[in-house]
Amino acid sequence: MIPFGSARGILIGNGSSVDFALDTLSPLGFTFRLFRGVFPMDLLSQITIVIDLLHNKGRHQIALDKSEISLTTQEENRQSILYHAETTSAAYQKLTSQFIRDYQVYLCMRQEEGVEAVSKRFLGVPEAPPTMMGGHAYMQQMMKVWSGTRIFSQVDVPVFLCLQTPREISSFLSHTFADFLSGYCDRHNLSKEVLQNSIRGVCLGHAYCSQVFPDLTQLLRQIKRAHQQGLQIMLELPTVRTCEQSRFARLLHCLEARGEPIDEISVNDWGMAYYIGTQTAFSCSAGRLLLRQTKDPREAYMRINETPSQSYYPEFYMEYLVSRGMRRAAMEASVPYTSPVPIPFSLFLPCFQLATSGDCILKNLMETGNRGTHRPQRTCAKYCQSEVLLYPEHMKTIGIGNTLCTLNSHVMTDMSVLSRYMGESCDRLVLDFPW
Amino acid sequence: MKITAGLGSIDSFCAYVEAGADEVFCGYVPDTWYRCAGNIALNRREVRLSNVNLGGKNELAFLAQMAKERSVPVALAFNAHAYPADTYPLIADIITDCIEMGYVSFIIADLALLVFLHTKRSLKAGWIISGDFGEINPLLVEYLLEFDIQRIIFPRSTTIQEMQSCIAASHGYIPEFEAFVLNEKCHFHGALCQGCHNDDLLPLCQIPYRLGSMQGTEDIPMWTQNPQTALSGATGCGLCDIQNLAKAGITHLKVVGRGNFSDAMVRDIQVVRDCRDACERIAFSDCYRDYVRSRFPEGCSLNCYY
Repeated sequence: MIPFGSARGILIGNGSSVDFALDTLSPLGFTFRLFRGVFPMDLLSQITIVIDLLHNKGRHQIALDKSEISLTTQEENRQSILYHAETTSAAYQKLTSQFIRDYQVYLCMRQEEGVEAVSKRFLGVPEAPPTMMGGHAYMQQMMKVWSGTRIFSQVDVPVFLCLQTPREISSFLSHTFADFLSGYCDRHNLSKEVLQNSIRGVCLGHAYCSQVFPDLTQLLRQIKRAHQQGLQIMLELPTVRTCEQSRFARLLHCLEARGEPIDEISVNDWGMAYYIGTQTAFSCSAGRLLLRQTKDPREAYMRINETPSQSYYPEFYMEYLVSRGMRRAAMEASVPYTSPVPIPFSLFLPCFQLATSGDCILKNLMETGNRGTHRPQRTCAKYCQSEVLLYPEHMKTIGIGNTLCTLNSHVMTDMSVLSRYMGESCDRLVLDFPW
Repeated sequence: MKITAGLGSIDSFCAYVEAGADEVFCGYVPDTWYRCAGNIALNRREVRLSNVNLGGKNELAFLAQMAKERSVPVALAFNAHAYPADTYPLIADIITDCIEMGYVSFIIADLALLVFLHTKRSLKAGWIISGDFGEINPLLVEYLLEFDIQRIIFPRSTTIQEMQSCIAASHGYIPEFEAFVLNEKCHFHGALCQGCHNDDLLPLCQIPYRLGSMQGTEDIPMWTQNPQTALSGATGCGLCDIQNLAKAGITHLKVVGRGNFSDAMVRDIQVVRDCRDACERIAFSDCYRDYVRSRFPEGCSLNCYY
């Protein structure tokens, strides 16, 4: 059977239509097996052949009028009829010839050279070997793009700093805020002069990994320090496994009992969202791992002839979240959304999450030396503090611990890009550098 | 326990059932979706150039008839993580058409879609929560009780103990629970992998990478994805734990493989069937594991799910 997604037919007649898969396809005709009763063939007026040419060359369809087709029955049984259709339509012959040629080339190339060769030849995806730079050098190079950016002086929303790495947290706790900010800006190639007037708060916790998420004592220290500095506090919770539910429940109850000044809790699993909404007085926001979308950085190569027009976060869904107590959301500067986000949101930039592992891929790799085999990981060896996974440079992606993080540097330099992500509802920017 | 197997083409249905599949699941992507949504995925397989998804009302009619004759249920996957805002009505229309053709079980991964189907369309069907829905924990199970769920599929990285806690949290209101047992133990959590799975790009888990030090440059080897072998369970195997899964309350064992070669899937289904049947006649877990290992005289993959 010809894969339906690449080539298919539609029977049309008497105001109805039925799409069907093709058994065989050639420039002279095609065959298909029709289930009895699914379409009245005596009312057939037209067969449309639809072909999606390979590598995003678009959808093409040829409408063959009944008079252009010679339809014969090859075989029949109680359930179905095998039809053979011949046509001399020049447009049909041209289209199917091109499709068959492309398909054969694709299959041969994929079999002999692999998918990467296909990506390179037909989509222009660069050669895939990972960067040969060391981790630190690679990140320095990525950050050079926005050196000296003054973009934060052009926005009139507050900026929060994400403190989710041991180095940032240690610096935050042990230095004055001015010194901490100087070090932060130096490390991430930002202008302190531009940022210092915009900083209003910090984002604590960890969105991706419960092992790295601070324990209660550490968290209380960070909250106290932030409060002393006059900073607002946003807390990000990771996805919470069953075995960790009680830990996070205790943590939340403790924070609530102490009246800790937490402005917002961003949750990344529905279970915790339900718990906070029903068992605590906190309000929570839909975290960046809850509002999902395909954001593969290679997708740009797929959209050769179209601009991304996806809009996510439909209004009915946002209403539902608000009705469940989630009045805010956390979004990422990953794929631009073309319809307005109807609730206030924090925009995390310049990194966005691409993929997160249920078990730490870095720990698995370090301890087994084998990328394909995984073991459940219940303890943390803190490999992510010294090692990263380096991907091909065109992907702008690094693996930190259990998560692949991709960098969108345009959003740090181009106000028109940043404005598109912010829209009307963004009321906070959160700077997130996961290294 | 029932075996549910991934179906990529209706031509393989009979072979899978004869091999021992008690249920099959497949993707369905009709022409209306391709016309309206283009490259947007309707389920987690965006592949067009292989038989991975069913398409066409005609094929659906065939499958419905074959399923009815053999009393083998078919679940249809609509388990993409999210959809453009204007496509939800179209998806609901597609599901409605499927219900009219006799399909009753649908695999969903997007809460927004579940909300739409429940509140805007009031559709009644057997909703199956995909392993890609999100982190499954007892709190989520309690939360999902409002949606009249038929089954929950546990994500790959869920331990058997965690499954047990979640099943207990359902208090019997969710009748079925499914766990992965063979194939494709992915690098990443299904719910948290936002990469493409299409014809022209390597999946994220197969892209070569290097290990880099934060301190400086090092000559570190490069890793590519381990090559797949012809061995059952080479890419993920939970056969040794079928007994434990049964004790935990799992009702369905998932053999992943939409798009895999049919003969490999038939072999995999047979292995799972034999091990499941062995569970019932072998009382002791050590003896059961010995039986499983005896199926792999040259050694198993050691790529254990649990």
